Amino acid sequence: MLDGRTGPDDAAWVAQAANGDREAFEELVVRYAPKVFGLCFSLLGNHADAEDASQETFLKAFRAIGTYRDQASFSTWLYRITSNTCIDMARQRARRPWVSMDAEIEEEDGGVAFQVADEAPLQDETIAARWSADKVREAIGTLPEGFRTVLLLRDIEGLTYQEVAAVLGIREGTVKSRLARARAALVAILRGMEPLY
Amino acid sequence: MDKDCGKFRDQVEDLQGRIPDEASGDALRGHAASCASCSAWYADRAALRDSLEPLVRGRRTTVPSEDLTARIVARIQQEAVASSNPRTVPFFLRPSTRRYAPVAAALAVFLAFGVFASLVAGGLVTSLTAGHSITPASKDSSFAPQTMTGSPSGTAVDSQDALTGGEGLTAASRLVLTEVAQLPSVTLKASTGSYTAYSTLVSSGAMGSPAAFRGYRNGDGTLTLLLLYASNAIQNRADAISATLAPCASPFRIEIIDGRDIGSTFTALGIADADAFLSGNTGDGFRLLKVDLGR
Repeated sequence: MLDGRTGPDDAAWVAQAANGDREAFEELVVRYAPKVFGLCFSLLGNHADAEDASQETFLKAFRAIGTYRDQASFSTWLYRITSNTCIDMARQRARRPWVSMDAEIEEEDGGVAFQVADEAPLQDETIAARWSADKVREAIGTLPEGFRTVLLLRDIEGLTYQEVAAVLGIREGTVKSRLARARAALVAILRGMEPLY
Repeated sequence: MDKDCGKFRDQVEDLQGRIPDEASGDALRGHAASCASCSAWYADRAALRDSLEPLVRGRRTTVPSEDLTARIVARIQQEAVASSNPRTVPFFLRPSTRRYAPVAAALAVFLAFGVFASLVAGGLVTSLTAGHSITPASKDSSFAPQTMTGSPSGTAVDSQDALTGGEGLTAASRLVLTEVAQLPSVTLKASTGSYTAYSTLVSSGAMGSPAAFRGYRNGDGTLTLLLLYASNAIQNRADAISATLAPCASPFRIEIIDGRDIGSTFTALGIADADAFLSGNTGDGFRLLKVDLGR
């Protein structure tokens, strides 16, 4: 969920930032940086790229804050910039995004290793069929961009249909249909079948 | 798929792909039990939901670096400084003078033609084109950093005032830079080619956000930049830096150094405090980018 909605406090900061108050914008950076990073990590799949994209997102937002109008919430406006930044970055780097979900962990000797997402068995093992996290990651990476983004925003990031629609600038019905097709395609890929979009 | 099936699937999706165990799920369970198609669909949906769960947990336990916010704020401040400096905008692009651009362009073409014609008449153009060919910036071949590979001067570049206000450098980088002796800006600017290349690199943002950064000015006016990155990001950074430097006139060289070789690299460069530079960022997770900028 986009729990960083434009609240009463945000609105004052946003208004000041839009009037050229740099310190007000910096306050918004402090408030939203973790959420923006999280979205970048979901869309790009690794820590370093997510931090680069977060930085780029806020720079773009800073340059454009004067054009922000209160038609959408600030968080939605910011997440739309985030989403576009990540998609552009993935295209520029000409490689499939979201091939890993690594996490840095500090080791006892002070070094840093990269830990893959938890693959421990779930408590609820009533469903016999389950694909490994690596296989799912790889399969998501093969989805067309429009499907992949919707699936990541909804199923990994946990945004509502309405929020996904607002962030991507598409209709809610389109979100639902793309999501259904993305999931069906993902299952097909995981079963070793040709996906139908 | 009939109307009931569509309704069943919509409701399951609204429930995040899970039929509740409680009585509220009875109707959905009833439909699944009586419809082979929806039963198979739900099995796939549930399997996918469970398969995504570890990724959701991995995402939620991943947090940004502690200094990410500080780095972003530093970039914003640099951006604000740059945008408030009217000298960063060429005079012909400023709103006050832009309307005269077409006239200025026409005048420039007219003058250039006149100059060219007079040079041809004097035989100068022929000798210039014959004696000098323009080639792309060499990546390595013409760059022999004698003093660079032996030992940098040990004096770090002061990006705060000698260069371009430290644009593109992180707060962490500046911290390192301020800990070492600073060069007078006039000394640094004397090495025009490397200074220009470095300014270009810094203002482009191509260096991104290294975990650590240092710049050394060498005795011959060349510069050596040491940038520490996470291993999975370093190739992108090397590519971006290379692409940014390529149009510059001065030669450059880029090396990626594995984590285990960083210590020996520092030793070879005559830098004693590798540990301070690394600040615990060691192991296979980090690699060093060494960028040599020629004059």
